[in-house]
Amino acid sequence: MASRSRKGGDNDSHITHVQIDGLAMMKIIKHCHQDASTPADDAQGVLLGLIMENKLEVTNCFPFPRSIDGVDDDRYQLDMMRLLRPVNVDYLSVGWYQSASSGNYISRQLLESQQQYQESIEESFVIIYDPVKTAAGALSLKAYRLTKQAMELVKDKGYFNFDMLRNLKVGHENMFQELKVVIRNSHLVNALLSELSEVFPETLNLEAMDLGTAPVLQRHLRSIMDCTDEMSQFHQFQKQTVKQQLEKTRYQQRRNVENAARKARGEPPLPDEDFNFKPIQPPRDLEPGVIVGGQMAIYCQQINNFCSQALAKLFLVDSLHQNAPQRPLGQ
Amino acid sequence: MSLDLTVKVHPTVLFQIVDAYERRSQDKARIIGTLLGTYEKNGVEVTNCFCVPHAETQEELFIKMDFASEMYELHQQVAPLEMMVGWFATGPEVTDHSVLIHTYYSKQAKCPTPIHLTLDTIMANGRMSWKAYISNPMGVPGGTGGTMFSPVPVELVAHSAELVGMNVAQNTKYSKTKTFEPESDLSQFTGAVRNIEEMIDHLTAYVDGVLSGTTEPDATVGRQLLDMVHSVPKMSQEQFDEMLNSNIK
Repeated sequence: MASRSRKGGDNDSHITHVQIDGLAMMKIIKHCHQDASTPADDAQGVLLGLIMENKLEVTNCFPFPRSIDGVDDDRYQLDMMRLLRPVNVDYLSVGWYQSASSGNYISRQLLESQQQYQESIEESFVIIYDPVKTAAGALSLKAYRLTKQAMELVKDKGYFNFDMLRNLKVGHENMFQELKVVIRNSHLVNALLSELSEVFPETLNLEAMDLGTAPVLQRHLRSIMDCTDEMSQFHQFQKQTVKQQLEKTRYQQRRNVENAARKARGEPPLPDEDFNFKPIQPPRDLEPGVIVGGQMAIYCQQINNFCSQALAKLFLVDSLHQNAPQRPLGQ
Repeated sequence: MSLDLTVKVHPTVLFQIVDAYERRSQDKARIIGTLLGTYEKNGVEVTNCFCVPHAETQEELFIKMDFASEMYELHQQVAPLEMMVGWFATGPEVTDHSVLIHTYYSKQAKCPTPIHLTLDTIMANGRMSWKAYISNPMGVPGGTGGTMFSPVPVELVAHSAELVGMNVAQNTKYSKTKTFEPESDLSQFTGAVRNIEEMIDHLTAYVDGVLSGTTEPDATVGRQLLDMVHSVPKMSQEQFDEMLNSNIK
């Protein structure tokens, strides 16, 4: 399948990967699957750990309550960190995590939160956990940070506009920088895992073999359709600009032809009037352009991945059918 | 209290206990903490836990209960459905102090029958085992009463995402640095295909063995094999090709 453009921007930090403890990973999974029926879309929490020379260690995490009125986020976080100190849990918060089903995590809010975190702690990052994909058999845990350009962009807290985008050369490809995720377990936990593997025999990941492709594709397509709706304003602006550009060039050509004709007749050329095209206002908020664009890129890439797997599965089953007539029973 | 109680424990809880045990301060031999979960018919499901600092010597026992209640309140904010269902301790056996802690929990926690879970982190038998107990009063009526911890069956449950997470974590056992990098989707898929291939190899070896008379045929296995072969939907080659092509489109 075609390789997608590498998400990367300026990378001057020396962090190469993120190391997550098995415990933190299990807690994230547990929290995001808490509401048994539907995977919550806005499960968030804080990651605690250490920053070593070239890697970030996440040793523990705790969930945030959903923001209902009356719950004070800061207070909750401070209380929790205070209580975790006597039990010797690392108390440096290195980032935060969020659940995002099918990868729909790019939003203004995420950018702002991440920007705040990165302001206070430079190496902080956000982990995006995809509950839907994990339940289907493939652990989906990714770590992202904002690139330097993206930080600048979000810093102003205003609406994105053309000048900012142009100056900083930010497109949706270089807003996020992805970090490699490594899982680590201590020896004692490995002993526990050995015990557990007797209870839960290492399952053969049979969910990954599921042939039902329709629901997943439907969901992705619906999300893409929503994104397209949001981008409609931006698209209209683009269409109008292009139309206006065309008209300008046409007008220019007509004038040139006329001027040439007039010169041929010996008359003075028409003065170059100002084009009386009023400049079209770009939409004030170009946020959809970048954010939604990035989101759609993610969806498309996921569909790519998913389709490659589905095709492989279908071909597997095909071969099963082909061989059937060749082996008569009883042989 | 019903004696056919079953305790269902999620693996996350065990992970947390081990981690808290590793981080204990030097002077402690074991750690204790609160178990959180839900009650259901005939059983308790333990889904979360947190460690509570305590100090115990031969004579006395001291637990920071205000810590426990604060922590519990914070957890309630995130998961209002989880209640205190008992407490855990590391170590191979139930000690005298456990009785005290247990009575405290049964009074403090608004739970009728607190569960006591032990996780043997020091691996006294060479294995890390876990057991659950509930307390029953015992004694001669009119004489001095006491409490007895009676074991309760423990079952480990996990939902599919937890299983996936654990399977990924299992791989850290095989690397020297105890680390493991989750693979990309396609390689996970090829891994799954390889597993199925292995399974099929086993099966064909077994069938060959039976046919050539070297292995004892087993009726149940034979029936299951028959079911499996029949479950492949019977379709002619052309029908299947057509379906495949239309799906691809």
